[in-house]
Amino acid sequence: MVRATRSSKPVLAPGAKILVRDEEWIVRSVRPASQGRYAVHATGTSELVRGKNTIFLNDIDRIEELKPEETELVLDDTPRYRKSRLYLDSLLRRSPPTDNAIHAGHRAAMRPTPYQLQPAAKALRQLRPRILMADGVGLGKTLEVGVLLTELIQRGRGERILVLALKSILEQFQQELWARFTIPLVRLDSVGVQRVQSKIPTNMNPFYFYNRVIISIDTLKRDEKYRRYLEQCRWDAVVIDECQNVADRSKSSTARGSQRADLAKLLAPRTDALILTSATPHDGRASSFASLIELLEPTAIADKEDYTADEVDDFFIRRFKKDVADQIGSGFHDRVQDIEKQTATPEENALFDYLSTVKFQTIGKTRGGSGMLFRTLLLKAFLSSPSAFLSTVAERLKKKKVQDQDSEEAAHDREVLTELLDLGERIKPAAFSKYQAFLQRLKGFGLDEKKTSERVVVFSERVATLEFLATRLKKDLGLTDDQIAVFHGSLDDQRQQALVREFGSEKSAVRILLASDAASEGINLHYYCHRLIHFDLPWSLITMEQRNGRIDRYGQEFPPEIYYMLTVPGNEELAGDLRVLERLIEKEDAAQKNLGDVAWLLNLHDKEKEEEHIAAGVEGSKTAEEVLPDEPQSNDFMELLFGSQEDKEPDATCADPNRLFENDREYAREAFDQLLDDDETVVTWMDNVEGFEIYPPEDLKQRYKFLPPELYKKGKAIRLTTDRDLVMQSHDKAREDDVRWPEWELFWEQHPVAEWLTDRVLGEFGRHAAPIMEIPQGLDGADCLFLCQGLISNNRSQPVLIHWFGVPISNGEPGDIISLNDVIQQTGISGAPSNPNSGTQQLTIELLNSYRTAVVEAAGKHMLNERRARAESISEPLREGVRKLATWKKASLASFTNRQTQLLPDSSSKQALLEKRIEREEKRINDIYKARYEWINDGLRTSDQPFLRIAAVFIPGGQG
Amino acid sequence: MVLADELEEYTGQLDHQAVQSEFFDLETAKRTARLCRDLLAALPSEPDEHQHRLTQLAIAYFVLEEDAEDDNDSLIGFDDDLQVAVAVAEALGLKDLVD
Repeated sequence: MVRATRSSKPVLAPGAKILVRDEEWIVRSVRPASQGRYAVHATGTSELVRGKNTIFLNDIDRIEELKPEETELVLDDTPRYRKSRLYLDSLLRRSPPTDNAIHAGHRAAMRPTPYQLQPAAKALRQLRPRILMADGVGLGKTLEVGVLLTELIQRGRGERILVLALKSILEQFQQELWARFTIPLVRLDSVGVQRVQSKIPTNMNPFYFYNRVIISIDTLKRDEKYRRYLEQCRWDAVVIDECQNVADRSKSSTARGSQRADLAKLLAPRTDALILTSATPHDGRASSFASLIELLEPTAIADKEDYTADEVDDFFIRRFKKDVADQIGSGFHDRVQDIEKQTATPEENALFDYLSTVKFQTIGKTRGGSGMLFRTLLLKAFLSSPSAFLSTVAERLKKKKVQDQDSEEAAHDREVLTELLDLGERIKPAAFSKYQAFLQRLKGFGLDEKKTSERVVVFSERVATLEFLATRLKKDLGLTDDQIAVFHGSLDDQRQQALVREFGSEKSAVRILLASDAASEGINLHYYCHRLIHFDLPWSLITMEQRNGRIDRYGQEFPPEIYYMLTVPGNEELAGDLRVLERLIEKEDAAQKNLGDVAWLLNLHDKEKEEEHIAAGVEGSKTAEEVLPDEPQSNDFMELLFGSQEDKEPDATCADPNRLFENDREYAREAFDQLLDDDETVVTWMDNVEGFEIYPPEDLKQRYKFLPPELYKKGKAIRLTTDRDLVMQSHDKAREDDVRWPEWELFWEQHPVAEWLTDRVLGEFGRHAAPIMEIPQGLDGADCLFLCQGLISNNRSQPVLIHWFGVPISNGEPGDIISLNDVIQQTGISGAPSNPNSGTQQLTIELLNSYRTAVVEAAGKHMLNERRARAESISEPLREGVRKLATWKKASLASFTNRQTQLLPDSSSKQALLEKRIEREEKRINDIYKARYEWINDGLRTSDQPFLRIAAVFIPGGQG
Repeated sequence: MVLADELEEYTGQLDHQAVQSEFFDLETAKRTARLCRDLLAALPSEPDEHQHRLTQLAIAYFVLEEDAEDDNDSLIGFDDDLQVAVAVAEALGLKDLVD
């Protein structure tokens, strides 16, 4: 009676019902496991196991799936065929897309613009969905990630997701993905890690316990235990946000840089999809960019130092504000900027003058770690604030080299530093010209008024400056402690996330956020703030752009106002040297408008290198124009990057899902009416909102145990709506009210409640049964019409072909296959046809039963024809891909051989050494080639045993 | 079996193999078979050992299923067969046989 499987590969489709251990389950996916086994991921539907998720291994459990030709055909006596329509709609919901169109991402709680769907479409076109999303600052990369993850989830390729992000944005990322896409990521920040440790046994791998996790890259790279856990895991999708941190950079020899890069290399082969995001994806060197592309596809580039656009173009997408401005409309406003130049006070000039002539004898002769002369470092600190300056001088005085030496030179330097301390201390706030102007500026914004709702974010490089400002502003503006917040890198992840949350909340008291550059990457500060002040200037275009991007970004409702505070010394020579800073501001503004990527202007692509470069200008060795040219410093690599993306990325194709109900709300309403007994009053429908609230029953609560704990509070209702605007408003309001999680959640196929509901509907329908529906208007002359589903999987058990179609029976024989749309049109089932309940006779059912074998045969043939058509359509591009791979293998080895021949010094042992190295490299390249080839092969070759299902039978009216 | 017969027998199975194997590269296989036939036809009436051996090599390689790229299992199973046949044609100065 059943098709049982043990040790052979199961022929099962998502949504198929199986019997295992005498209980009934619905298949969610089938995946290869170790030792050639297969793991069937399933959710329980029968009484004892309802709602339980489990995994069966085909060599251990007897997994029984009923044969399609033995499907029990049953009459549906519910009004308007509610039960049947719910069952069929639920099957359609469980039917993963197998094409490259966007099926759900564009229906998330967002207002998508075409450019935001393109990265997902581009990734889905690849054999493996792997992409570097490298759009400029503030274009909404998180939304682009959400769209792609949604599409992967819809395809059954997003069950296990790992997101790595900076600690400051873990919560922000988690909330965006939940509020807009209902993707539940468990946040493993310091509190989350403790929570996990208390919840699961100490030796249990937390990444097995939770399927979707967001964690800071620094937590992972540091924690040996977590690294070991990672080594054991496989993922469907890994997201590395701000991936420049894992790239091979010129300074990647630092322990931190290489630890992060090692972590990325550990994860890349352990995931199917890989999504990298960065606004600064390279440091200007071809090899740095190549290191990211290699994570995505190890066989893309043969020579990391010398490659063509063709080799990388498929793997990244990079646009700037200027490129998408026409699509965004009011989503972006032109920035307004102002440079506030203050003439130095006599006290300040005294210090400037002394500093311009001072000469150290033991210190500052060589450039320190910052690449600047000590005198320049002092000047930079002073240009931030006297407090920063004093802090730098005091620290230097404490140093052994200065303090403990008895030499005359050391004594001289101590004297100079002491004099500088004295000069610095004389600059009281009243004599701090920039601060006074800043104060006036803040007053001009109304920040001294008690009931103001104005907000401003103030950036400074120096924590000492931030602390000075925090203390003084409270006094000078009459602000309370909770109206000023200070954000810097040494705060723990909880405090950083809390500050970001508070600043994004309308109800929060915070008016001024004083931030170091730890806040300049990734975080959203634009919700209730459109003003940003650079209290000091970072000597880097990249940092400036990143700072500005915190408020000048997608979704900013007002024109962003950017203010730069500069001090102009009386000393003309020094003032001349500092003119480079003014030019830096002008160039950043021009570059972001015209060039898009400001980093090309200097072609250094590294904050620290840019700072050193600007420092050289300040030190007077170059003119401002020499330091900051009008035109970008173009090179071959720049041409490659820009040139390769010149052809416009095609717009994504969006597909509407096949559904039998008008919308998700109608589906839910009917499903709850059908499923819930009168005493299960867990759902309340709203009168004035397109939504409902639900008190989760036990089996749903069970599911929430594996989701982020923030999503469900015991005893509270979950509110769900299909109104996207309401979800977005609710998301905004949650931020306004600082309650973290929105009141209204999007009810769509991806929400855990919708998934639970669909499983319940499928579970309620009889075991291995299909409904018979009588269609009063007839069936275009056919005796009856069978609705079937066919599925063909690849060698990795991923569905690659799913078809819904009708098999009409005329004169007792199967006729030509018709499409699902034709079935829907002929039967009118999406319009809730009336059920005549005319009492179909047993004789009719027996006749229908007799057709089943022929129908299954016809369905099988149809699916094999589809399989052949697919093979024909992809053969040529596929072969091209494999030929490219073969070319890569040859070119990689040739490039290695050339490089090694040049590198190795001439000696008697050169040839032997060369051969040894080549042999080793050849093995490495062959291993990569083989793994990649097998991956392609397994992903594209399909089973010739399609999974088939008879889903319903339609008979013309009057057959009763 | 003589080489020409082996070639015809192997070529005769190609259509059947294409049905059996999902990504069988029938087009390249037939192109290689054509070139092999042309090489055979180009053999001079006076025996030329060099030409004979090279032609033999091209055909032997073609009819060998498990070569560098397995004819049935590899996605590019006949790329190597065609390359060998083309190389032979070029070596024999019969470039014009290559389409």
